[in-house]
Amino acid sequence: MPSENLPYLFAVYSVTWVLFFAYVFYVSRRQRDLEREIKDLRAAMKSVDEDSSSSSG
Amino acid sequence: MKMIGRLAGGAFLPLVAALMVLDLYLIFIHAPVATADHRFNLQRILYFHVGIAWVSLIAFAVIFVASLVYLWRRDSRWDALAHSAAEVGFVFASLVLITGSLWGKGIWDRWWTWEPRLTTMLILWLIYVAYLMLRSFASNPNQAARFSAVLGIIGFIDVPIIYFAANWWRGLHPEVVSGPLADTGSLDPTMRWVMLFTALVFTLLFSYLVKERMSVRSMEDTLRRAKYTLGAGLGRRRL
Repeated sequence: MPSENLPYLFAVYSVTWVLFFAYVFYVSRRQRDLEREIKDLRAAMKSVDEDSSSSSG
Repeated sequence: MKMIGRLAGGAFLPLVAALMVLDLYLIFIHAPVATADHRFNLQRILYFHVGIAWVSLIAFAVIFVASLVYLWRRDSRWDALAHSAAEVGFVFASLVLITGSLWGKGIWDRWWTWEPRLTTMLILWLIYVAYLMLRSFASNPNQAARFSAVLGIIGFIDVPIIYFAANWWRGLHPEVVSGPLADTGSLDPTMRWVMLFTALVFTLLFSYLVKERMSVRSMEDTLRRAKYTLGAGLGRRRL
């Protein structure tokens, strides 16, 4: 094989790993964002419950 | 039982990582170099390329089955499976085109050619794109699930065409080396089992990624329902 073709072999293995890690990073970041959003929403629901109980009492 | 499930889930990623390291050893150290032709070390691209291509087809088979069951039972878990498989499958399909293009440049000295298998694979990639766009842009989640299920079923027609393309229409792409159409003498036995092992490792990686994506999707659904409930509650209070 002409030696100048070796970079293609290197590129295939590098690109594959970079794309997989990028996807895993995207999924884990989305998971973190959703957890934070669920936490905020729980706090909002709690304050709505407190407001409604204080206004009815 | 739940604890065993959690332990198995926790051990899954390290297992896949260990198998991937072993696979790299097999590809670069154990598998023989193809000295019979001009390919030499460059043929080591094919182990990853074929393994990834296999998973991109399997992913669409998962979409096909999950879409059929969703339309039959209207159970959102099947829709979540189809959606997750489509997103992960899109990553694999993109990698098939990239690695194939790099292989083509190294062997044929061209990045792309309108050859049957390459063209049918590009069509599959475009179906993946259409599927994900449909999901992103639809305002009604139930409608998005229904429409994308139909697309997932129709799009599956391309999968067998991709597999048989290299044998039906002779092009630049090498003939089938695994599955029912494969010529058993076309590949060195060591190369063949390393290729099958690579396909197995990528299938396990695909399963792990789909499982993770499904847990994100479940959180998205929970959040959407909670927002709806909260919105309805606030609306009632205003009245």
